[in-house]
Amino acid sequence: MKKNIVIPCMGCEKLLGQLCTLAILHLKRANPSKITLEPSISQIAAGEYKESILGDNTIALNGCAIQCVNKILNQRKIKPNLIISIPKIIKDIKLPQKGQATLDYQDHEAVKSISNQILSQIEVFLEKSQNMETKPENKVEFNPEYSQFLEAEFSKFHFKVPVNDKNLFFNWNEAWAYHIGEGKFFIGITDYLQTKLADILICELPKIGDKIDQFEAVANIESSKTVNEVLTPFSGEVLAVNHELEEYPEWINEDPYLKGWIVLVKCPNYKEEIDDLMNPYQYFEFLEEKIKEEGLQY
Amino acid sequence: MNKTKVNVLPCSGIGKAFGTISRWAAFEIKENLKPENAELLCLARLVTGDDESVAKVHHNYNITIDGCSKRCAYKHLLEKDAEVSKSFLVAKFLVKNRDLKVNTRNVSDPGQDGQQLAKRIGIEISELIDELVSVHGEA
Repeated sequence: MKKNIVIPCMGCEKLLGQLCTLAILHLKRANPSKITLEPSISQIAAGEYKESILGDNTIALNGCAIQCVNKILNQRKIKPNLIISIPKIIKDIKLPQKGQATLDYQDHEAVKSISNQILSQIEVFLEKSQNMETKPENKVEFNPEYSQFLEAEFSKFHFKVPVNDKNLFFNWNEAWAYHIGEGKFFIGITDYLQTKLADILICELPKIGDKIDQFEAVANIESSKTVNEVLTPFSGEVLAVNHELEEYPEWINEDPYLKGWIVLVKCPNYKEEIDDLMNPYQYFEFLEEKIKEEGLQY
Repeated sequence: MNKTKVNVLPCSGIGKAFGTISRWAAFEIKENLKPENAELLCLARLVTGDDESVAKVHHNYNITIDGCSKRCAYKHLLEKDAEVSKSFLVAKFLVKNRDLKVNTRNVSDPGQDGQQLAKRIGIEISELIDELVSVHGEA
């Protein structure tokens, strides 16, 4: 059975880092068998790190937005299976008033709450991992063929529109669909929309097997600016979702037409529904008009 | 250049009670004993080469409180070409304070005597902080 190896930052500069340190120790004390703790620094110095965590679940625990543990693991070419960031899990937790942690904070309610949140994130991750292992059909690869990219400009921004004469479609809600045959479509959002949303923080995915109607929300995207529903160009059943986006939602920003794909759906009525969509050239014209009228405003 | 700040870098270990005591000592210094002159630095942040951290270890005095003889904090400071005013080791304090019955087996909570040891370490380090900053009449 895989161990859950938590690598905390053990921060001491900022309150969140300090609470993170106290919380992970609290968690270990309360649930000794659920997690194994490994230091972020010392074994790296000793050069023993990679071997000791190979084959287990590696969980990076970052106390603040600087994300030191991620950087350290990256330096060692280790990709964590789960990244937990304390600033993201403290929304509803009442933090201590003082700026620095003290010995008195050991049993502070905030420490217990953060500890519970960390455990909950690990449990959700384990459940998802188990689901993915039992559903190997979810591990799909998206290899589209784009003959060229058209480019529209607005101010300092360049919006790319990929072209595939037969298989690529767009709706008016800035979603694309790529046909891979037999009515199966990969779906994502456009370069224009990801630019407009800015930094994407969370991509909430549907469940495998969910059924959706054309132009209904198939996913929710939360960015630093707003929350946006992804309205599907095609109806049908969700065959697969891009689980990588749960960990790396920024892929939608970085590569919206390839590794930022969101879902794969099977649409029995696709031949009819295509009539309500645009091909890449039509979408490009639509985009140029839209930019002239709206720019990047909501 | 007058130095009025002293960086305190505790251990970032998680396998021994000594690491916990080193952090407790650092908190005690910053929170109660020398809030004006002491500045806590995350070892992980320094190791990643963070510009702000690296600048601080070159502009301020540096004191390390390592938990065990691996002395990670001390070694990483040297790696960044920083001058270390003094390197402390919790394990050595334990030997000097045999009247305390520290629960060294409990990483997360070395007990009341562990806290007491952290306070004693804090007091000794605070005296050094006074010495360092008083060189320039800033204490």
